[in-house]
Amino acid sequence: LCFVMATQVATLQKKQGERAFERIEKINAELFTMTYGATVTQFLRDNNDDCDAVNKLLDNMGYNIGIRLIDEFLAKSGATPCRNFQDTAEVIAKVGLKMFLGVTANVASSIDEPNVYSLLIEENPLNLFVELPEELRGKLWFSNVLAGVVRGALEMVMYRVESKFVKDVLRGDDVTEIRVTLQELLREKFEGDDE
Amino acid sequence: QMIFSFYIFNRTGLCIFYEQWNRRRSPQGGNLDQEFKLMAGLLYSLKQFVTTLSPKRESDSLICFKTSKFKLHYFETQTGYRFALTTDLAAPDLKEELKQVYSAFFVDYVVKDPTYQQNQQIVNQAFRENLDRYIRKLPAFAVTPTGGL
Repeated sequence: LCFVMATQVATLQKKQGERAFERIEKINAELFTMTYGATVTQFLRDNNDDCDAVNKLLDNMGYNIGIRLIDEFLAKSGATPCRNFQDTAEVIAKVGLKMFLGVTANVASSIDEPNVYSLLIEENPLNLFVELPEELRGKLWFSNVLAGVVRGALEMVMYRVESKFVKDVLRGDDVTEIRVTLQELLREKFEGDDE
Repeated sequence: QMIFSFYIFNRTGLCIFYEQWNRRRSPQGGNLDQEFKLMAGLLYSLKQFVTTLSPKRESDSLICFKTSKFKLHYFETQTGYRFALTTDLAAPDLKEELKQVYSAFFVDYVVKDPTYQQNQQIVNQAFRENLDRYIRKLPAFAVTPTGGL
């Protein structure tokens, strides 16, 4: 029975993702990909190819997008509230990514580690025209903005997480993987509390 | 039927937006800030009260409350924004309308406005105008005390 329910939830989420994707306004994929590519290239130039600095900038940029995008997501996706941290994985993978990027991801998690999951992205639209030069490979996380978006969005719904790329096909890995680790369940803090 | 005032609070209890329509009695001592603090505190406590007293274990939520003179309609987003609307007692349940304000106006004109920073007052004029137009069109809105028939 448990298995049947899980499959039903998965089908529902897939449908929610597709419906949200249909509803949302689209932009030209090439323009989007090239704008992102130009941003990364400019960051590299501004930072003398310091990949650590650029990774951080991209993550930050993503964070600032994530804390806004989450409201768009909640208002327009029709997704129901998550009951726990693991629930957020499937919702991001099947509804969120579909809604904003048109792709879905697979989730890898283990029962022994309820505070960690991985998003496995097979098709990453940000990578579309990209081939990393040898000197950047192994240092630059080209799509790091996505890790930041996940971190920002989850923080707004009270999950403080670490979110980072651990694999990227651009580096020659077999899959693109973002690992999300729960660090703290945030509690609502009210201004008047300390007074 | 009448709509009196509208408030948006953020997660920390700061009032980031206020608008009033058929409100005839000015706030206590003419001090709106005092009123915002009072209302933020009330909503925060009431929410905890609801959670604590809920007969079921699942999460419960505050929808509205009424006094002998007015009703307060309430909607809270998962991101911690609280929308509150006060009306007279004749107004129907307006939770769906508050949701609409969130998804149609707040998200588009406030959250997506790149100049808007969290924990700041909302100054976006398009938001204020669209909200005003929307509220005035609601059946629960009436300009004169004898409005409607």
